[in-house]
Amino acid sequence: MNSIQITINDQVEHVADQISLVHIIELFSLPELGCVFAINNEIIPRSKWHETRLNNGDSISLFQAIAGG
Amino acid sequence: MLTIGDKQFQSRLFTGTGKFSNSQVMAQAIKESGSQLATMALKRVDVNNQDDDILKPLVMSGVNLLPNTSGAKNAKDAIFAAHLAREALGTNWLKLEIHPDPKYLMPDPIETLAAAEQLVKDGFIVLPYCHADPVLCKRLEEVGCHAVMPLGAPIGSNKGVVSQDFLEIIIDQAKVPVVVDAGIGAPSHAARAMEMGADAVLVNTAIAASVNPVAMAKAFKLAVESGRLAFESGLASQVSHAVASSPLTSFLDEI
Repeated sequence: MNSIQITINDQVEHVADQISLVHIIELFSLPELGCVFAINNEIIPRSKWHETRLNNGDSISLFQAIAGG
Repeated sequence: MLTIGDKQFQSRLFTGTGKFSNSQVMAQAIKESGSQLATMALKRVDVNNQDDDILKPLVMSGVNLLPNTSGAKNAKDAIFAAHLAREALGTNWLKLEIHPDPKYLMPDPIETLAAAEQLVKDGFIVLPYCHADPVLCKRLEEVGCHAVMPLGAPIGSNKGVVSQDFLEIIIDQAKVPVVVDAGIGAPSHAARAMEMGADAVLVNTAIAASVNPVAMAKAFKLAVESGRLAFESGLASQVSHAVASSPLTSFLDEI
């Protein structure tokens, strides 16, 4: 299986081609509650996490709700 | 009862979740405050060094969440942050805040107005943090903001309601709820804002950075209730000379 290079919050990772976002979450033990993903600055709705597949060079940004005023 | 957008609030004390020593104290303080709306921020996750989960205790407490756009330096950033927050937290409520200058954290009025207009069109319930500027507050109301949140004093300064004269004009003119945000450092400040007719206050640092945040949260709850009751009761007017409360009869002279 071909490997692709992606970044998760600027950290470079190598993963299988066409891996789904849901698998990425499992693979890197990423938080889910109160989280939102953007791929190449496009927000991915939670309902699309299963069908969203990663391509070489994709940049994943992961944001999470934190304490704040 | 206070109504903003589609929600009704029995408590007129809104709370921030920042600066607490840990999430248990934060959750307990918010519970004690009686607050039904609590702010949250959003940040990029450090994949290798994840923060405490503060969301779970908040969700369990049943408090409504008000994500903010802290960190946004212009309208474009704020709009992106708003959409991220809506997806992350599943709410279209938003505290819009754009403060490019880290020293004074003064809200940028031009970017805030531009972002507010767009976000209202995008279906958000927009509560903008802004300067105590009556003209700006009116403009924010006109573009469809569901409340305005003018500052009492700079964020985290605990200086109280130093913008009082301008807040009074804002409260007088507003057709949407006015929430005094930022600078409230003591329950007496919160009471003062409520006596002036503010619809609610938003308090974070003054509770979170106190020695006993849970007890301080209760002190703010009581102050906000007291100030509101005083406003509704109609304060007696001030005069510049003494007016006796007891009848000044001259009976002692007659002994």
